[in-house]
Amino acid sequence: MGPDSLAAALTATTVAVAAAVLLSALWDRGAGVRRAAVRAATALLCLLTAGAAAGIWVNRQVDTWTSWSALLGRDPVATTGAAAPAAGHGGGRLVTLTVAGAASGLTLRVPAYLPAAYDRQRTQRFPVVEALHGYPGSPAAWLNRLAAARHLDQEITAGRMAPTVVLFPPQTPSPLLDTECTNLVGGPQAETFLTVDVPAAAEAQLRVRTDRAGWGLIGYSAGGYCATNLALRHPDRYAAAASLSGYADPGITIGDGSEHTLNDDRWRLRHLPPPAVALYLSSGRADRTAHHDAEALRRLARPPLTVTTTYVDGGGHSMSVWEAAEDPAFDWLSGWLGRPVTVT
Amino acid sequence: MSLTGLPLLIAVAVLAVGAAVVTARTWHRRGRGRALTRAAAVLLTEVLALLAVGLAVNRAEGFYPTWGDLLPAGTGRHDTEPARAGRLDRWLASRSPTPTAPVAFPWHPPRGGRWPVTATPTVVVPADYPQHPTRRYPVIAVLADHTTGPGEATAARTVEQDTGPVIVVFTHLRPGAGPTVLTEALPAGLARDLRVTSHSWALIAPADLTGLARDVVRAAPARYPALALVDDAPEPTGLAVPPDLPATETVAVIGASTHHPGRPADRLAVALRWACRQTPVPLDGPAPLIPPPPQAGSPSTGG
Repeated sequence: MGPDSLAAALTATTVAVAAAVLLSALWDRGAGVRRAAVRAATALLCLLTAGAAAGIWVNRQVDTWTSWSALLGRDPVATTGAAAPAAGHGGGRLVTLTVAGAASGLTLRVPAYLPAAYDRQRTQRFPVVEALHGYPGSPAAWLNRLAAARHLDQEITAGRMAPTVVLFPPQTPSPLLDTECTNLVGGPQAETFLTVDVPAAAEAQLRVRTDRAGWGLIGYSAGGYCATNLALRHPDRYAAAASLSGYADPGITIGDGSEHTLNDDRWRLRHLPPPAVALYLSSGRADRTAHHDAEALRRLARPPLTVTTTYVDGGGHSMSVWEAAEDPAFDWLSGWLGRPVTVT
Repeated sequence: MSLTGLPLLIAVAVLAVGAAVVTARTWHRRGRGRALTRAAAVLLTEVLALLAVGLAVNRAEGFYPTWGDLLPAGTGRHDTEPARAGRLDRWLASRSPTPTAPVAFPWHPPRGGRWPVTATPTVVVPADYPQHPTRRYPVIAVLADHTTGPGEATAARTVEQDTGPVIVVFTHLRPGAGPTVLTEALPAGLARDLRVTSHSWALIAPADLTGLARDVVRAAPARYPALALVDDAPEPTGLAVPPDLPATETVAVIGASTHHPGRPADRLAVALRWACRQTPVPLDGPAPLIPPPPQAGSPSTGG
């Protein structure tokens, strides 16, 4: 029963109700200091249990903590295990890579989706997509809330997507530290982890393509910004990127001022030669900031940069929008990546 | 009342404060079931307070602009719209509904008579093309010269068996032809006649057409992100990759000095295999974007 489970949420709600009942039942008991202490303790219990119940329900939405040990800071990179569902019957499967980042100094676990063809065609190397989560969040959000494995099975089976390995790397070593996939000055080197260490580990541990034609990015919310920003910054590594409700700038302080320059995608498109990468920008029209930023990037894009935009009427900044958008985004991405190739 | 509007937020906040006041004022009221009444009052106050906080956050961040956005995502069917049929699709299907080998034919593109070619282009369509009428295929464009002619169709057929389905077109451009044939006329003509992708093609050029190939990929790097240069000379000639190609261009030189030189006659097939590996799998069109469920309640998205 993890902190993102329905059982935990229902239990916390029950405890909050019980705390309120306890408060009213014990309010008139005892006398003097003891009565005051009981009243204070039960009132505090009410506040804590109500807050905890609300927190667990919110955590269920964003999947920031998927284990109690992660919540307590003992295993901050726990992302899979019981919380990660297996892919559908006859479809792909999930494995977990341990990425000991020699370049970034970060050691984190990375869930990976292997398509069914991965086990059938053992002489092939497959294209790869790095799927980046939002903030707050964790890779488990892709697997649980967005049911990525089921959607990938469905799209591959339908012939709209090539068999593809999809990696779900965490973009921060601490769930509450927002890196926006950048190298924070004096902090985690998330960009290096995602663009150097994760590819190196995947190429060493899995049968995946090693060239840029075989690598793409996708992300939602903060992960959407990550996808476009990393593709623009590393066109030698990635051929295409899809952003679901991503922004054009990180919205955090990186420490070197680059949030206003090299890590601001609008600034990059205004001041630097555009790279030959393909971007897919999707959002709900009612998600004003994401929609505005996507339109700004579309207007600033010049060849050889290619930008495709798709908008959902209405829609907010929510999982329902991203689940609606993930199928076409994965399909589009696959159309820009090289095919599985036979190992030579 | 909009989910992100100020009226709803104020109303819930006022209710939360009111619930707290009423709870405090009635706390000592005696009567049967006092414990349950108190508990209910406390819970109601807590829920309203948390709801007010949630609405404030939602108003600031715009997570759920409408009531409908609170519902789970819809799960509509993903029926792929068929790709627009190519002008030659019906003819190809009539030739052989279930061909077992790629089909090669001389291609007469629209207004192709104006193209600067020395011979009619040859197109090789993969065997599965008629069987997948909703798929779009990537293309390998070959700048063919006098050395490729005799074995070009055979080489293209071989590559599909080895590497996978792809459309191959052999052009036979006159010396001095400009890049626009390959960046504009050829894509437009193929898109009209066949179901082809609009990007991620590959280009193969012989050594003596390296300059033209460079101009083509510089003008259309998204169309031709992969370039193979074929040197037919039996001995190494020092054919070099042009230095001013786009940084994202993937380039291979296939010749006597490369890792798998093979016989000169085999190098076209080697180049075709390499180029095919750079292209995407032929795919159906992307799934349609299925919008979230119909917005129940307020049609408004702002406050």
